[in-house]
Amino acid sequence: MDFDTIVLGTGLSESILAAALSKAGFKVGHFDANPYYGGDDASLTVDDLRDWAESRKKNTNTVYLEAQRQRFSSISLTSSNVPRSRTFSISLSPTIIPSVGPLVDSLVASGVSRYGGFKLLESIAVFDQPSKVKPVPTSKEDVFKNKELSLVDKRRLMRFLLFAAGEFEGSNELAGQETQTFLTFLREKFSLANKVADAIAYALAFCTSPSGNLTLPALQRIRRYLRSAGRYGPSPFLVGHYGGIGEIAQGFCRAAAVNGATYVLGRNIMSLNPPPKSLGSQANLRWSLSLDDLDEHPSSRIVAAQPAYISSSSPSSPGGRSARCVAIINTPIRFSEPPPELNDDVSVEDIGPGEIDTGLLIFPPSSVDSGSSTAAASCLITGEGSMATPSGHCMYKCFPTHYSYLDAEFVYARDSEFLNTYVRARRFSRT
Amino acid sequence: MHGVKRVQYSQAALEAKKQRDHDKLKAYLALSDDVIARKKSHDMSNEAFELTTRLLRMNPEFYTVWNYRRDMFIESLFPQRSPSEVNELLSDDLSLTFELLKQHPKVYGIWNHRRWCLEHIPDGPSPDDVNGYRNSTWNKELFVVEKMLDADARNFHAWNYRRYILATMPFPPPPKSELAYTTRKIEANFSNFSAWHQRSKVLTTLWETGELDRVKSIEEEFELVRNAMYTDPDDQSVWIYHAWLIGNGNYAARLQFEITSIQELLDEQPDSKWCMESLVRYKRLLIEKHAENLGDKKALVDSCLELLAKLRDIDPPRRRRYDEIAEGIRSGNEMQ
Repeated sequence: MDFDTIVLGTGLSESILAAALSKAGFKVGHFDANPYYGGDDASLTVDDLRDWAESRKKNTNTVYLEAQRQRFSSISLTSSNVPRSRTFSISLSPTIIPSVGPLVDSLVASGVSRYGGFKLLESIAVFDQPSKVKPVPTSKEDVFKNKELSLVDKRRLMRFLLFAAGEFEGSNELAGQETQTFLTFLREKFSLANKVADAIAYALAFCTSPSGNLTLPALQRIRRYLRSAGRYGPSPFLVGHYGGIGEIAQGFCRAAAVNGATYVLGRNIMSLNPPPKSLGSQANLRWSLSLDDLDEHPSSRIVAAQPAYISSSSPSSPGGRSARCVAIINTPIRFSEPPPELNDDVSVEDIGPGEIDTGLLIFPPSSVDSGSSTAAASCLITGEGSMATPSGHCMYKCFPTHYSYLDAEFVYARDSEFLNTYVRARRFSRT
Repeated sequence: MHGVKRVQYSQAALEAKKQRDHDKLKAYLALSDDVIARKKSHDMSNEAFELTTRLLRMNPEFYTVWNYRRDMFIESLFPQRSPSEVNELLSDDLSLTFELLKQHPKVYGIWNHRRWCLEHIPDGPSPDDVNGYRNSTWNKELFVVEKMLDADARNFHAWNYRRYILATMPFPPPPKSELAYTTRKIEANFSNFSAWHQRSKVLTTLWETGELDRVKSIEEEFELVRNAMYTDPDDQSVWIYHAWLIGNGNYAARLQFEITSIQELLDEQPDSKWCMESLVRYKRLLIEKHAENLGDKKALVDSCLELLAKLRDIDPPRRRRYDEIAEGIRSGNEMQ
């Protein structure tokens, strides 16, 4: 089992890397201690999720499992029975994909987009006390039809959206304000009312807190999303079928396998052995793996790994700890009031959106009694339309607003010197 | 089509295109000469008919050949044929025009021919059901025009055709449903003069028949147009519709209200040319029609002149027009 590269973990970044290297002609050995593809991005059935929880709770004897136990320091699962549990696809990493950006480009360039389906996110809304959900307008059409905004609010919001969609670098409004808190920028430079500014900051720019997010990066995110609208439909975002990026990671693994990568799932990695310190030529410096219940030792010059396979203690994230929740419900969620009684003259197509199948609900700081005043929370709602649930159910996944900028380039590299290979797969995430 | 960019060709691509076009041109000219010659010699044969089909597919704007085709229908293809055969022939031509319209949505000749086909559908299929063929064809027409409007909501040919169908079809849908259709199109993108125009026609009908209360309806329309105005003050079709709603300006309270509202918008968006122009227009109406009720006429006149001066600055190509309007206001003022 001699490889050019060993990749540990089948999360999205690792899988893109494996696919790129295999396509470029390198011999890749791809390993994951879990018995499924996707690593921390996987899509699991209810039973698989129970197993996942169990294995992270008990005492562990590998670096990876210990890292997982520290990362997921408190897990609680309902014990009630979930009907048709096998038809649920629960994502460990709920994700929405902008229609314009490096991930979509990679999916198309690599052909992995053909392996799965995608659904357009239907609606983004903000939770407003005491119990109202307000859709977030992101286009001229939305602003025009919106019944909540005052006329002046509409004008100011449109002015901001036009600004944010254009070339704002070097503009007067932005001068000297690049590192200003985004919410302050919105209120001062565009005179946006508090609720409108909140909706923009938390539901369009995905800011995480009232004071932590800077103007220039927030504007750049908004511009990316505004320019994504219209590519596949009115909404800027796609949600992958069957639980999202778990399927996509698996797709990249499939692409890697098609190009010759070897896959080993479900075996614990007992140790990662550095090259022996011996005299001799550089070419013999190889890492090797000891896998549970496998006599052979896979080896390679290079090992690329998800950090959990290298060290049990993950670097502390700047945002601190976060809490996530997955809730399965059997009542559809509405983002707007049901339409009034129709008379016969009006055709059925005039009804506005009602029940949400695939949507995003943002809870800004201080929007919920006794909730956080310093952090926003997001809730991704997925249902039958994205194949995440059987009919009649939907999933309501709450997590702190967390924008993950996936920067992955799928480029064919012919350079034999691997370290200079033009492949980058990085994932920045802020929790 | 609206919003579709012209393709830019490189030098090499241009050369290749020229060569391809040269061959196509030769074939086209040969065919067109043949067809015109046959037309001159009054050739009404099936062969000639097939040739017109080929020619029209290459160039549907050649209206002479559409005429020739219709002559052939009337003189040689329809006579001696049963109603069901005639219906069949016309259905084929309706399919042909639909296909051509997808590539050429704005060619008068194609829309024309379609109307002609509809008007010549024979009685049938039986003496008890003389309108059977007509009804089933006409019902499909609305669907066809809706598809065209989905593809380009601003195609005035399609809107014209839609009015023609609604006026001519045996069982048209009620005007309120048409109002709802314009609402849908305006909500999707209110930068659509044709949709607003259609709305004005439908509303007028509904007011005349009494189906909608005119006063309440106008209030709702002002609300709708105000939303559009504030969302995008630069959109011309919105201001034109607003002017239609104001009409001859006989209702002073409404004029005052709209002037206040537009002034608020101008305060938000100080560079808006349309706000300024509309304010001048409506203030002039106040001056001309409601002079006796005005408190401070001079203030109104002065504010018009001030707005016109600003308009000269932000819209220099039309400054002589603004000058003329200012003159008119001054002289009208002096005469009183």
